[in-house]
Amino acid sequence: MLFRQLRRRRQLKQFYCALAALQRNIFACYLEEDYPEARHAYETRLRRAHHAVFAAMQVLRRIEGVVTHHSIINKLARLYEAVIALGQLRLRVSDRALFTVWRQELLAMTDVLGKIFQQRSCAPYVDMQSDLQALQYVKENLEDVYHGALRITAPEPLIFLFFIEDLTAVSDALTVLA
Amino acid sequence: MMGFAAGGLLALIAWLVWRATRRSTRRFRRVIGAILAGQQAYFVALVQPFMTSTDGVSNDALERGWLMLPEWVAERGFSRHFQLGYTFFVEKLAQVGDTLFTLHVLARRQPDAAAIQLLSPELLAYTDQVNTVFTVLQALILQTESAAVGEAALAQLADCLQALEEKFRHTLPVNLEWLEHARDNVCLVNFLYTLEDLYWQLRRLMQALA
Repeated sequence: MLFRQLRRRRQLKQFYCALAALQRNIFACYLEEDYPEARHAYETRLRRAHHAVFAAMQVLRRIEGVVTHHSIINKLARLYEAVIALGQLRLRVSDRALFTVWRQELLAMTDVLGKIFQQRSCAPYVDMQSDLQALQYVKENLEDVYHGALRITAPEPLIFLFFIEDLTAVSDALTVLA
Repeated sequence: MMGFAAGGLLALIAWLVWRATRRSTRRFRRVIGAILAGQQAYFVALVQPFMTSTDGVSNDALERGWLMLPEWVAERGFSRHFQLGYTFFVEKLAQVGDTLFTLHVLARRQPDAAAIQLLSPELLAYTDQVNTVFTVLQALILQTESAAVGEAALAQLADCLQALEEKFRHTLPVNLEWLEHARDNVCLVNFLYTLEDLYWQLRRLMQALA
């Protein structure tokens, strides 16, 4: 029993570290200026980040055994799906100049998410209220910029609204885990 | 005599390279076919919870499929001549996987049940046709079908998508102001956008095989 708990804790740490790397690679696709020219390299790094998350999930599934509806496996799956969904925007936006409008907010968002996942990797069961508040604050800044600029300048403002809702999904998934 | 020996040696080397390439091509096709089959089953399974507002599906099979992605195509030493085509496939398959996870996120959020009920005939037709396209893709990968079958399946999928979009436009007043005030419906619109993303990704895969 203790051995299983230790294994689970270690694997949760690996999962959250992998998730931190995944979100970093996703946001790099929005923030790095050379993404259009070096797309293959970024996509390869992104796939490797996915690989690390799924490898950790598979080990966690073996440790947990039977998965019920309220099992931690489902909650973790919900979290990584929400993080992966944040990457859809890179496939929908052709004018990368639009990301410069959101640059500071996207940088803040990737910092906050990175901190949350790093903290969870060190202490998976710690209280997350202050982190969720920080996430909510950054999301509100993103929404303000969307309403102030992107809504008017972007040819398809809807896809940025979808991104904001995907951030809500990440926040909800973290709340469920908390 | 020496010329004969040199020619024989060169022919042997060429044959060994050809055999290694053919073996890696066959291995690649088998793995891609298996991953496509897993993605097909996942897509069909996740549309049901979306339409009936029930629990989501397990990601176990899709995670295992992802771990099977032939990343060895991006390794150094793999023939540069073949690498670009193979890495294109791996990249597109990974994007299809991402799109499926995004659809699952949206399905879990359980948008407006009444709107989904109105769209269900077109949604079911689209799901069936995506299922067919996945089957045809696997057949093309394993070289048991012709490109014409793929083009026909894609054309039908485009028609189903168009019918779904037209029904949606007639059923709901989609504009930015409406969505910003009724944020529950953002999820439904996002679901339809993501279905369109899936269409374009499957189309690129099909065209690469044609």
